[in-house]
Amino acid sequence: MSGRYDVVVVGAGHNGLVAAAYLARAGKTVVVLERGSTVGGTASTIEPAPGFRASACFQSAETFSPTVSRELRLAAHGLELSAPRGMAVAAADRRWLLFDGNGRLAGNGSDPIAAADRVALADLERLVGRIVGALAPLYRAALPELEALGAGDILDLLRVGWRLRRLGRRDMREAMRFLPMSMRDVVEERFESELLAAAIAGLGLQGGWVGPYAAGTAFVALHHQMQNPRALLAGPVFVKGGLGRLSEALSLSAQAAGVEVRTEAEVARIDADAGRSQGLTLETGEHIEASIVVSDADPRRTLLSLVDPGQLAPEFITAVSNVRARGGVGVVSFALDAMPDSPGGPAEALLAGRVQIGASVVEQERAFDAMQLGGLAARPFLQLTFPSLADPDMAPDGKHVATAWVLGVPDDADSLDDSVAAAIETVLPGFTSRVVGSVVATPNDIEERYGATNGCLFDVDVSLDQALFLRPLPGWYRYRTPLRGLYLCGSGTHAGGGISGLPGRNAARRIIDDLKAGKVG
Amino acid sequence: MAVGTPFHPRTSALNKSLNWRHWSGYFTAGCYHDFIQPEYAAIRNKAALIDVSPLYKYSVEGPGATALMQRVFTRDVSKCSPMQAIYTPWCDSGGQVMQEGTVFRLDDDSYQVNAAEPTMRWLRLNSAGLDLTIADRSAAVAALALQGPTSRRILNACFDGDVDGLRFFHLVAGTIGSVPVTVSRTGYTGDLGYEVWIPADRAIAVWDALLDVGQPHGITPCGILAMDVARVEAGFILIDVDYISAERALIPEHTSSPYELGLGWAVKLDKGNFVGRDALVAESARGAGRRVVGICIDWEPLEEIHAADNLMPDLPQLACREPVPVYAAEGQVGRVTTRCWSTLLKKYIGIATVEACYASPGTAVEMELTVNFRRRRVPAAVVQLPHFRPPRMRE
Ligand SMILES: Cc1cc2nc3c(=O)[nH]c(=O)nc-3n(C[C@H](O)[C@H](O)[C@H](O)COP(=O)(O)OP(=O)(O)OC[C@H]3O[C@@H](n4cnc5c(N)ncnc54)[C@H](O)[C@@H]3O)c2cc1C
Repeated sequence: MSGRYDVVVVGAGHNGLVAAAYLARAGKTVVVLERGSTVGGTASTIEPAPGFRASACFQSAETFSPTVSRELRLAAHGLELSAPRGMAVAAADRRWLLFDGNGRLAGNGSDPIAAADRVALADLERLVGRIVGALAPLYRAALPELEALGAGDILDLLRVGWRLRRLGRRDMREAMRFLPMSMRDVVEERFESELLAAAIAGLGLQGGWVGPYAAGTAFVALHHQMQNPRALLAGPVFVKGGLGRLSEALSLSAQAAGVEVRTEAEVARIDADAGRSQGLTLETGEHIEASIVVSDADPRRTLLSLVDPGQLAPEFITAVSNVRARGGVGVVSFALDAMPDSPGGPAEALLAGRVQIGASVVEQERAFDAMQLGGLAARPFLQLTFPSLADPDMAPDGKHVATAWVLGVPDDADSLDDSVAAAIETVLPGFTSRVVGSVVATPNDIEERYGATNGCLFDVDVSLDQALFLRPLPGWYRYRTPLRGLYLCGSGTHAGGGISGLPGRNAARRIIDDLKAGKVG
Repeated sequence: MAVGTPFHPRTSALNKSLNWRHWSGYFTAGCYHDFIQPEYAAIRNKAALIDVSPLYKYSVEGPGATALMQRVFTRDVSKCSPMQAIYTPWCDSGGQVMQEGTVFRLDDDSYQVNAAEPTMRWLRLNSAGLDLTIADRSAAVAALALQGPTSRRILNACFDGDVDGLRFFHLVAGTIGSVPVTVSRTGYTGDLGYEVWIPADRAIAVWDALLDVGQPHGITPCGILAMDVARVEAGFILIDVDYISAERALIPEHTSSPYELGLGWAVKLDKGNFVGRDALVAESARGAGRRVVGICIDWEPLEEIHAADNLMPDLPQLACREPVPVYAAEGQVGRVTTRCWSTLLKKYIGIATVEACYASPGTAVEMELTVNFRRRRVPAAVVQLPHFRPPRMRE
């Protein structure tokens, strides 16, 4: 079937835009349909109060693939990234630790750090660096098809195998042990410093709906490294103007390649017949014909509500319904009339990057426990950023914005802004009195605003059993679906979960290859 | 441990032979007396009252109910009017039969699905995105099959619905005594007959009423062993005997498509997508590799083989479910899955599965038979199913 477009992309989240741009550059006619009024989906910018800007969900772009950035010439389309801003851990009793943008210990206030801890940190950096070095290439392309390995696929796998072998016996053993470990065990056997342990453990909590005692949280930490390897504690890389700018740059790059981007165009259903997608229909009733449909909406939404389930085998539907996609994270953006006081150290440096409140592993686990029991912890685990310190344009003169990323938020948490402000107050005295406006995103809000099932950050939980060859589903790790012509490209697919652009790029390349091989039908 | 059906207080008093069969976790009478002939005779000459309560029954209701029926079943349910019934197989994604059964359309958006095996999970799995409710009514609904030439007269004498106007595979609601029941003109004997669907807590009253008004018409409580012979004559296949459900098959060879089971007529490829359609499109183009057929064992050679050992033919009075090989000149070409002596037809008949090229009626084959402890082969002919189906079934 030849349609009006070669490809129609559902959703202008960053991955949808990346996929569209690559497909257009390969000569396809592409349209992107976004239900929101702006592009970016979860990677967008909001206004917590007039004149203040903040990134809507995730705050920073250190996981974004430099390859995508270069290939799509995002700098030329307005993307400006800060250097890594470092990170701090702060406790209510005014203890703190600070790491600079290279991830090196830059200050420890009154908290002594044993020499052994410094060595252990360097050692962990080395181990993670080596594992990531061996595995990261798997994230940079669609995975080889295990069921029918082509010569190229075998070469790819051999390369990974060879890299793993080069780890040597000791590191290989450590690597095998590391992946399924809990972050609590990773830090417990390495560090004496409670704050250092908490800083490292926090890296494994960026998968949502887990506490540091959960097996496999070590993999979650690695996952974000594989998207873009860097020092463990280097902290955030801010996008000038907020994350929405990244999406705008992607949109401009895509449009420069010929992509048509339509906002306020909600897709009602993906049409299908006899096992093949047949374009789609908008809420308005408009039908759009295309030989290929690529969905940036999450796999569950795409396959359970956009596609008529009657077109899919019941076993497949069951498998999709059982994909774990849980919320548990909320975001509060605050407009501040001035910076709060520093927790004790040099304010500018301490608050420059990411400030983690959740100063012990046990406290982090308790925050998760509270959510499982249906409430917000008295001391939630949260990560705070002040992007206006790096980019004064984010707030009116002399004023600031702060965004808190909070783990352990019930779906419909009430007055989350007050509870979060109170939690921040324990570490940054005076914070509450500086707040002049706020915007809250509970898991329910996230689902409603961005369409992510259950408000799941990553479309599909990031965990060992839903990664690589198992993401989003066993057997469907190559961006395809059982409907010929329908592909997935969002965070819920391989290499996805976070802002990296890799799923979009991998999916586009997969589609281009399928088209070349005449495999789409 | 099996339990009694809602009719157990009555059936247990009658079951002098203590011949109980386990059926889906229930005790059902195999045969009330020492041999099945009187019960079988009632099916063909009078009226047999058979407790079929162990069938699984599901109600499906709601705006999405018809879409679910269309997804699951191979027949086109949109062609079935309210108060009509259809017989249909249903398949897994590979187009292999999981079960076959009857579906009652009670109203535009309301159905009763009758199945031999638990089916809730499958109905649920297939209802993604559909607005409907599914309820397991197996225990709440008792069922009696009233089968045989006088069954209509019996119903006319106790049921207030329009029995004379009730066409084959249609339903009518009414009361027996004061009990609200649904009567369907369906059954598993190939004879004139009905099935009565009754609230389980009032089942006994209906049993009593039917037996009472049925006396002058020869009503006879009948076990499932006599029904088994009748269904072989009628050419009705039985799950896990004549085919293996795709849910239970251990190897692909053990599964069967509707085409293989002779149910190709019940597969509507052009009705839109349904579970297994892709595979069935391919198979319908390719043709089924084997077929379910009737088989009839030649009498004279059978008698001769026995006579050579000074024996008389040993004829299965009950339907025998032990599969035996079918041979042609090339070797084994199939199996007989059920066989029995039909006292009505005076023939040794069976249901068999054979390779497609041996499926035409009249094809001469051989069936393995153990005579005097030795494996022998007896000549037999492939025949068209059913072996017996009187016009009164539909009239
Ligand atoms: C609260 C929160 C915190 C996060 N924190 C982190 C973090 O700490 N670290 C990290 O790495 N990542 C984090 N992320 C994850 C990251 O933001 C996402 O993984 C990423 O942005 C997803 O991009 P995407 O393009 O795959 O999908 P999305 O951004 O979800 O884009 C999907 C798009 O599809 C659109 N859409 C959906 N349905 C339709 C339809 N029917 N018709 C038209 N359009 C439709 C949506 O409007 C949306 O624009 C966080 C996300 C959230 C929500």
